[in-house]
Amino acid sequence: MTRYLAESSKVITLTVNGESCRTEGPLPLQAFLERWSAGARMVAVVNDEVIGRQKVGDVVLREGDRIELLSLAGGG
Amino acid sequence: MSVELLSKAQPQRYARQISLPEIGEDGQKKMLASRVLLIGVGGLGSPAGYYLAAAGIGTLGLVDGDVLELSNLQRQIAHTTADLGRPKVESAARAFAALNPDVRINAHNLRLTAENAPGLFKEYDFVIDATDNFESKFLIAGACHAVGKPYSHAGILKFIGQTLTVIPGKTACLRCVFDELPPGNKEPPQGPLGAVPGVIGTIQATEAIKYLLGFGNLLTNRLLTYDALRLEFRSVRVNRRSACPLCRVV
Repeated sequence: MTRYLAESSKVITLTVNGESCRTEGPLPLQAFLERWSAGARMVAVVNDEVIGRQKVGDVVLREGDRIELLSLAGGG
Repeated sequence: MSVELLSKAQPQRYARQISLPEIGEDGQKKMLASRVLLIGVGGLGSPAGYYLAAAGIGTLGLVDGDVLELSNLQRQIAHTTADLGRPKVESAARAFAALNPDVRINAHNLRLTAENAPGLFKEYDFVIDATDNFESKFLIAGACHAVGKPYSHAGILKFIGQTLTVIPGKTACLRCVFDELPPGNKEPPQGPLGAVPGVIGTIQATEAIKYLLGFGNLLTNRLLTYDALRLEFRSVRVNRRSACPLCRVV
């Protein structure tokens, strides 16, 4: 695994839905969402900021970031 | 209003909540003078309506265009087997009125639309979204925003429930969090376990009362998620979003 890391990459710790998670980073949010198989229903909240779909490409996850993945529940 | 209002409304009935300093006699009078609109009298709307009626909300509006089906009864506890085939607003109105005859109930046997929503919402102090589909939830968020009406959003999926209270123009709204309708789902619905909307609908009733009386901390700028499988509540901070199609925060 290590050999694939770019020179500037290192292991970072993120908090995903309240649970600690280690990954290589900095990690583009888009790549993170793909890795988590977060479908089109999912919305990411990074450090309390809701990331609209058009903004996903602008966000890079770094050490200590908190990510919440939300999906709209439609039933009642 | 008021001494009369309260004496007419059987003070003994409300004695236990009047004993709470956050409510008291003044709070009870406020409740009896309040108007809450419940959109949907199913899994969420049944418990929300029961608790609002029990608490003595003076006017409860019920909106639902469905008739009761057998598969509803596993979770929609305002109705009974004898009500099958009848409009849900009728059986719900009867159930809530039986619990508390002080409550005036306006039963609207209709489907909410972009045309009829704003006029209806203006007649009430607080709206409870207890609907069972994405389109209605977006419609309610838009209409509440248009007429400046506070509301409690909620949704259910299998063993998960979520809810958010919104003061339009002041706190994060449904569309700040979910800007687009999720893709349609053609699979038959799974769940929920009936007690899951029971928990969330009860929270919606609590939020309505807190808003109307102005006590406690509302569930604003926080999306609460309840996972019955893990038995966990999580409150996720959400802020107003500048690109929100409704809020357009500057």
